[in-house]
Amino acid sequence: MPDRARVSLHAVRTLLMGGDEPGVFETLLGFRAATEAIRGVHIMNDLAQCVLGGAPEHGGDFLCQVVRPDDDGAENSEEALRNSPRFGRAFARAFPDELGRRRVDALRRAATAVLNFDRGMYKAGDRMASALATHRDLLGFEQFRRFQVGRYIEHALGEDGARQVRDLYETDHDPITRAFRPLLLPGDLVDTQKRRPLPPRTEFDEALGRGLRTLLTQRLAKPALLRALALASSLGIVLKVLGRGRPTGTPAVLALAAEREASRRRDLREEAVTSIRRCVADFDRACSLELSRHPGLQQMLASGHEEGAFVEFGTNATVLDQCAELIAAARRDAGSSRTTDDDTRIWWPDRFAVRLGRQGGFILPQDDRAGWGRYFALSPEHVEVLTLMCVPPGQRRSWKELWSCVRTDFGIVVGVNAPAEAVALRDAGVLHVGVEALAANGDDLLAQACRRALARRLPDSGAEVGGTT
Amino acid sequence: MSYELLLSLYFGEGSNADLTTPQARRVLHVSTPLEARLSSAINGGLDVVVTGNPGDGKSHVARTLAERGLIGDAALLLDLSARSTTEALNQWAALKGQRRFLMCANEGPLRELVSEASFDGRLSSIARELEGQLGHLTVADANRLPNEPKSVMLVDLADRNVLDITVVGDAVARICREEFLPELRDRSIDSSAGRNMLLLQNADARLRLARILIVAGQRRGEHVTFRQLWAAIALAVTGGKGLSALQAELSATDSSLGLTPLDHLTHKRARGLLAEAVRLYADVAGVSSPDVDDALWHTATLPSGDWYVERPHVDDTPQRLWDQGATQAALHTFRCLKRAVALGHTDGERLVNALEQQTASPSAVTASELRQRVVLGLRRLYVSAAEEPTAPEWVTRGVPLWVNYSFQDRPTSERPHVAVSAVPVAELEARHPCRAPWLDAALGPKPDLAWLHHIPSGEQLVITPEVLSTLDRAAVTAGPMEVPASVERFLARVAGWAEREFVDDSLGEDDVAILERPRGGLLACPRVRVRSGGASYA
Repeated sequence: MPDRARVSLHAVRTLLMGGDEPGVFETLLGFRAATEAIRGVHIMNDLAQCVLGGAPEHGGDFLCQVVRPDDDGAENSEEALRNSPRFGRAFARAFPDELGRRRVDALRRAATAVLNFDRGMYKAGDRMASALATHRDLLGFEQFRRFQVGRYIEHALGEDGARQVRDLYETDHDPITRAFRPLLLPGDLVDTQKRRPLPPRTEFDEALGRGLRTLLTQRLAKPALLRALALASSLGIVLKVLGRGRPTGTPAVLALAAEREASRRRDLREEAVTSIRRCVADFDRACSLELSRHPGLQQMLASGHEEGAFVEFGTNATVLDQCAELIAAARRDAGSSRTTDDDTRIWWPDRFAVRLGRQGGFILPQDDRAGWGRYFALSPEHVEVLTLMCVPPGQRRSWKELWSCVRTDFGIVVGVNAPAEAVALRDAGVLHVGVEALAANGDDLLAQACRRALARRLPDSGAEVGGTT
Repeated sequence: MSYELLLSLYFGEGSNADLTTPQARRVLHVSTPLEARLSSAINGGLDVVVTGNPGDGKSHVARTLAERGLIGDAALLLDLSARSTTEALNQWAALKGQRRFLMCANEGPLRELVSEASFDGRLSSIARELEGQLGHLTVADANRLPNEPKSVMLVDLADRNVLDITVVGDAVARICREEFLPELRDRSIDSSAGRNMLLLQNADARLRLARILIVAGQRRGEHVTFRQLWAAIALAVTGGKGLSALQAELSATDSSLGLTPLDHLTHKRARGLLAEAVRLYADVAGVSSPDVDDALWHTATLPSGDWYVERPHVDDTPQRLWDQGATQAALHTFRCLKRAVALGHTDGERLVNALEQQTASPSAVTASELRQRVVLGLRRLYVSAAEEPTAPEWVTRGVPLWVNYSFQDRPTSERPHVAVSAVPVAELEARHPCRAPWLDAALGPKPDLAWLHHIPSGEQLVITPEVLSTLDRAAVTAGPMEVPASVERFLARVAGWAEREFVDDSLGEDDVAILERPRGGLLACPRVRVRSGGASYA
């Protein structure tokens, strides 16, 4: 028997990414990651529909037409909308004739500026209607829901958290809803998305749910709260991917202070990059293990390869080693759209995570042109979100306690307790992290948080966060 | 005393009372009213507990008082962390009624001690008294101040403000003495450190440096410890250079430009809170003074006035360098000359004055004036004076609660904003810090900050000099401006309160304003009419 065998890349892709049935990635994560275009606005739309049980039956088409006055030919013109059999009455009620053409146009453009600021709304009927919704009646159908990312967040939130989110979308007291109340079009809720099963919650999922629930109790205006929730959810999804290869599901990533001078950021950049690489390597190991248990594996290995792209593996190794080799070969050969066609391209979850992290501003650099690796970087807003997740409203917590909680729950290390954190990083495979440089990064993060009045320095060289700053 | 001691102040060791000699402490001691207050409290029969940040001078002041015999036979406990809580409690209980007690403690161990002492019958009343003072000696509301101490007085040096012209000026004077000159044989005063000491022996130069450090510290808005102050002063004089670096500097033939105290403080590699603050907020090179700028750019000197020490030597004027295409060198020379003028020339007074005028001081205005300025600034941070005539009346009264909504990582200043209500001015109150009266004179000027308090919600906005400067600028300018994060957070919290308080009468009207972005155009200001058949714009 020959030492090496070949299988088609397409077959490997199917096992990893799934088809009708969940693939290895989805089994591990609970969601699919076959996109680099999903954004916060899509995730929040998905989450809202998950907790509410769908979007109004009109699917957001009314809003799509209102906020795209210059697009889609004449069908979005004021005249067409007034005469529309589907939305004519709603439009006439929202924009009475006596307003006049100029005012109606100004109001529609104002709605566009606010509700479509994140560019989540396309042509009516396309099922790409993710407005910046603050109310259930502003939700629309969305094709990105098939990835089930919002469902994962709902799962992490648990029943109580889901109820908190549902309450948010069912009240209309916030400024955005009040300003656009005429555009609210009620309708029976329709859930267009089939719910696939989710894996059991990991320790990380529990911690994320706890953090999100704490965030939802904060005394902020609803738009500010939803923005924080979106950012926290993005952070959670990225950390979920990075930590999935580790026993508790919690990663160990070194995050730099984003407002650090570039020269000082360089001190630890290599270590921060390595921490993400180690997480990805761990994830690949978890994928190998999951692949080795996949019911379709033996059939795939036996199927061989007749035409098209393929990957090779050693036949004399254990199943687990064969799977590890397949994963490594697939990473090499099916990594990007440049090297493979749509049929064989594998959408690696870590790339999805990097893309999402870049959109959230917590993974730098913003593109790969400089050839540096990617690393975590926290801005004051990210620190604020983590504070909102870890410190209940009205309470205060010491700076050290905050970061101890962030490290335990979410696996982010910044250097606030440098000696212990250097050990944690070493245990995660990030060797030779300078304790002094790590502590300096923690100091810089505190300085940037103090400058933004997020934290206060205290006697005893400490600092605290929370309360009213 | 030596140059090494001076240099060690920059690195923090020289200002650690536990690592220095009594002689060094004597030389570096800057008298403040605190010593007399502590002494009178102890001699008047009170136990005293001094807490604060590392570097605030707890051990220094305690040791100094003891060395000068100003606390009688009071027992001295310098470091609470060095012994167990039980041990400290027993010592204190044993001394109770016998000898007075002066204790220095970091806040963590002190809280632990107080908590333990509250269960100890011998010390429970003292513990209660201390607990009442912890964290309440400087507050926004005078009603929250504790009662005057009966048996124990807490002094939190985190409440002490060392950014006082007398204190900073005295500290500078102390290290500009001959004994601190670097040992470079007959060339000590030719070195940059020597020249800087010589310059700062001039009272005007010294006070200007003090004023610049004070402006920087105030703009930074954080507590400054004595150790941080010493570090900045030592850096200004020495540039953080050891003797060998000074020797190398003397043998180099380059221009001596860029070695003045202000160059050292604004150097990109300079470390320390105050140095960073000078670089960010108080670099006189960025202060506009047309006459001074014009003369320095064209001639590298000033047509009138006097230099306190030798005029800085430059090979070429900034203009000539610029004309030769050496633009970076031209700008560098120009900035260095300006920093040299600021401290070393009679006309430098103008630059330092201008710098001070750029900095708004919340403590320098009355509460009602401050409220007026802050409210106007908050309003105009979103709708500039130029846009106000087109805005509905309610947007130009009180403080509209502007909120934005986006999930993208884009600056607040680019996002559209919506407001549906404004907080009436009557619901807002400006508050200055109140300090316990028995400590007021002992701790220097009050912190230069204030709070804008929204009475119904209890939310407050901290008004630092930096925030007030931004709001003042917003009040009189148009065009894009960054919204301070603390302002955005304050409005989001008050808007959150308004949401919860909102009474939904189902049918009614809402006035709405939609802004393209802060300081951008108003996109629409409709009225939303809610009727039984649904809502409509009116």
